[in-house]
Amino acid sequence: MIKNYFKVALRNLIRHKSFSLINIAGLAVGMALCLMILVYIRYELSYDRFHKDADDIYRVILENNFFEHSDSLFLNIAPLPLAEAMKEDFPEISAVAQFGDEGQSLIRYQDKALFDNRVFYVEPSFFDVFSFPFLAGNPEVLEKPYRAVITRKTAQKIFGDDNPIGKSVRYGSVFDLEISGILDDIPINSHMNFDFLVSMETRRDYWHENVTGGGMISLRGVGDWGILSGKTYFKLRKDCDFNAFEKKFQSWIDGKYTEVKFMKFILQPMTDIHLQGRGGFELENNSDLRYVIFVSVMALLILVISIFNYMNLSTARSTSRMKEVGVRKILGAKRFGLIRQFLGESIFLTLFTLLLSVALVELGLPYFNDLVGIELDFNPLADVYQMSVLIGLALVVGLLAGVYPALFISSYKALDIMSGNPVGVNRKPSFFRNGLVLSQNVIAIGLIICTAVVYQQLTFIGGKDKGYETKNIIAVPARGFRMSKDLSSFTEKLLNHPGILDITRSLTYPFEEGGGATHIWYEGMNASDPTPFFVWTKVDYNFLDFYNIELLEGRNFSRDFPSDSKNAYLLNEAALKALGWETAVGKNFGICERDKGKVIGVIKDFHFNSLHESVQPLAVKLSSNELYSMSIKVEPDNLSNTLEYIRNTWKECSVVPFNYFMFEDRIAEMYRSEQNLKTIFTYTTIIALFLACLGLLGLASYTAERRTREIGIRKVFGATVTSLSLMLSRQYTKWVLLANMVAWPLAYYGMNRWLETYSYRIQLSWYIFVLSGAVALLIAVLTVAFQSIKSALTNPVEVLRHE
Amino acid sequence: MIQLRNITRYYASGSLNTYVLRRINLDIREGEFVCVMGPSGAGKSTLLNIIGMLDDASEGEYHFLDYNVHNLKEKQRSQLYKEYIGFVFQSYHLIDELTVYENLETPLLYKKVKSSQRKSMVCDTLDRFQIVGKKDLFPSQLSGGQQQLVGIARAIIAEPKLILADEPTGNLHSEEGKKIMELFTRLNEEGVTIIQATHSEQNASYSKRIIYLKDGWLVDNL
Repeated sequence: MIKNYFKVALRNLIRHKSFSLINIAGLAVGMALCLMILVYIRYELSYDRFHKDADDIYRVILENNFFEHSDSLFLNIAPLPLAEAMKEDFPEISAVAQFGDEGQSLIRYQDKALFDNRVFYVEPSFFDVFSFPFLAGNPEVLEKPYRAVITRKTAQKIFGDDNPIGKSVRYGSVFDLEISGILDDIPINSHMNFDFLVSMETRRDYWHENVTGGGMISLRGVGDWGILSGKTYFKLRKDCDFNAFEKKFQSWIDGKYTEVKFMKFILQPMTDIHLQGRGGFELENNSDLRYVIFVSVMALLILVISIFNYMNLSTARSTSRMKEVGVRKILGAKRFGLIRQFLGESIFLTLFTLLLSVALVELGLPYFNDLVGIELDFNPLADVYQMSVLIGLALVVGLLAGVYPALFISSYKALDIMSGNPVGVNRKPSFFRNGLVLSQNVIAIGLIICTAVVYQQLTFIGGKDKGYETKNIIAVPARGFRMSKDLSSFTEKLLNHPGILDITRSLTYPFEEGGGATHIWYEGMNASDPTPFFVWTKVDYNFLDFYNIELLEGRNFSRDFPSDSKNAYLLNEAALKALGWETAVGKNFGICERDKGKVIGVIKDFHFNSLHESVQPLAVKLSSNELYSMSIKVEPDNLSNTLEYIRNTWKECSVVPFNYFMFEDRIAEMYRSEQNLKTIFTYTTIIALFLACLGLLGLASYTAERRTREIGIRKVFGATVTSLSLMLSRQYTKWVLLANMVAWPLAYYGMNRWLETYSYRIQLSWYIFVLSGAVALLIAVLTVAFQSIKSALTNPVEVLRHE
Repeated sequence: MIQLRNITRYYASGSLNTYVLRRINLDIREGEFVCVMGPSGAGKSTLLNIIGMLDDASEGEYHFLDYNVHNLKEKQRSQLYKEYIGFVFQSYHLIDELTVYENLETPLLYKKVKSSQRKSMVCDTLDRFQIVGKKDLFPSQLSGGQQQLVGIARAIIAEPKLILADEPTGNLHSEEGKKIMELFTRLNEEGVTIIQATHSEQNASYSKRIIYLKDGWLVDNL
């Protein structure tokens, strides 16, 4: 019997080729997209899971509640003595890792000099918390000063095929490091990435010898809880309950840390960091849980559309199998048998479709990876999870898609079916089908609107005036000059080139956070008052002009005031607000007590961190040292020429290789998850629209087929092609119009809620809604019109003769 | 074999009932070859459908063999006709997606006949109807007469006691129709009871007994 069913199913598919193709292709595309998004979601959720006992690893972060009226600010830093104290006071903790992120650093080996080395200072206990397997060496090598462990990739980059163990490299121009171990490469789904792990002993030893540099945090003694430095991660024992521990920790830290009242230290599970870690001093630009939820909803909607499509088309087609059902009933089929037959057919078909969609995913994933900029793996055969998701998906889709046609078609009496065209046989499913068409279009239109809004908002954020110039700027990290005169000759030579307009240097680029200051000093402060958290940086004279940062009050740094180079500050608006000052010019201020000076001007807030967060207080100092970040403003024409000139000039002046990036690219990188979301949204919407159109097309061709006789008769009695096409098209465009009415308020509500989560947002405009509806309608009309005109053109004689 | 007592069938249309059959009394014995005749709309098909248990009478009693059909539930009725009755239709009603062989096999599948037995039954029938050469063709590849041949073969494959044929030659030209009628005669001689509804005097001449219907009334019973 199953063979019998199988044969009928297969031959039916082949007989209605185009119909089957539409049906299967639609479902395959929907399932493929859904699968891809599932793989993506799984990737996002897999972050940091590769560590052993990943669920037991936490970190301590700082919660800054200084601004009472805005959200609290989270910073991934902790007091220096915290790690030691936690280890001593909590038996629940099995290991603590405290480490410092030095950022990109210059490493030289023989005649090679490489900038892009991310350096962490770590203790050997780093490896008690994290699982980064050693290929050579072991954690103990990091007990000694001037030792480093590198990743395999870094080893390859610096040493090629040579064995790096025991070799020495020069760190900056400061000291030599002996390579003592090699780690396997860091998995891509890690929230921390580094190339060099340098032993913490190195830092202690070097600081002990040379108490300079490193910012002001190094100026105070070890053991001071006021020094916020480094990251503190720890691992809890397996048998320890986190909630109880958290309570204990809270009361413990309240007793320990009394320095600043509005600062709190809180615990965060490591596996939450990638999706929920938002704040300052993060190790990487993290993703956002909201985006993952967003994308999941999209996947679900696409799946719903394609299932509806499939149901709709199957139901439509099942009426053409009425005769078969009637015959089967007369030959003795029971209702249950028919239900089983049609359900089985549906499930068989979805399993087949699943194979297709797996093939589609295999084909499409590289493009998806390119789009999103990550490396996703899809290997269902090797992965039980993916395999079971797949099969589960096919079964659910098959059941959902098959259950209505099966129930509906088996419910008729044999006689009703056999006697031709009885009441109800054709009427009943159209209500259901129209409902499906309606909801499909609601989803499609809703998605168009959402995409438009998301697109606008994200473009707005991406293109929002960040408060500084971003265009036509080449950034050149300016390290590696032997003498300062080399640097000035480099600058001079560059300015001689007609394509180069201006050059400035600063400690950090405007999109970077500079140093953090927890103990600022200002006029009229009360020693017992808490001081707000400040970010500070150092710049050149022309920094404001170069980046077009607006001066609101006072004056810029100037060579006419020699004292500017010593103790003058520019503050931003947020700083004034934090200090409660109406005006600032002339007031005394310092980023610490030793660094007292006068405020000479107030600048407009610019976004040195991403637009997700509001602008923090900033203090800007003039300096001629440590201005490692060079920015070169160029003419947009002939960029490659200019770049070549800069490169050649660099070679003349510097001993290290040339290194640069386009300022705008780096900013785009900061908004990558927004960019990803935009991309995913756009493509999903196109596919949703495509699926909805397929559904309409299938239905239209089906109706046209069903109505050929009616069309023939109408033509005989004088209907024109135009009136017939209109009649056939109207049937579906009507539902699209109605779908607009439903989709608009839903989308309006949803998008409003979403926009509220941004501190900087667009206004919803009515034309997006109208335009989206019009687009959907136009596409629907085009889809249906083709089929309608085709059937309106058929010769009535042919149709009626057949009857 | 069949006793109809005061069988009446009407459809409610608005407040009026439209009568299709009116107080039909009819007895048919096993082995008869009965022809139901009458103009369009006389109620021939409805009578056949009621006898075939595809339709219910509005009033009256229907006894089939030892069963009181008018008291049976739908499920029992379907069990009954599956067991004893074969249907032949004017438009053949073969399953388009199945070959001749598979069409013949389908009723046996529903009767849960074992595979080996099924095979021999289908082969016997193909042989008997001389359509062995056509067994792998699909209905659309056959002429109307051939399709009806398959339709009849399918009706008798499960060895029913009664064959109900509603205008079996209505879509065929006269030569094909003649062959089908000769086939019915042969089947009847082998012991199968046959009731056919037809317009054609010529077809009627093959049967042993003719019943005339007009406007739902049984007007003549020869």
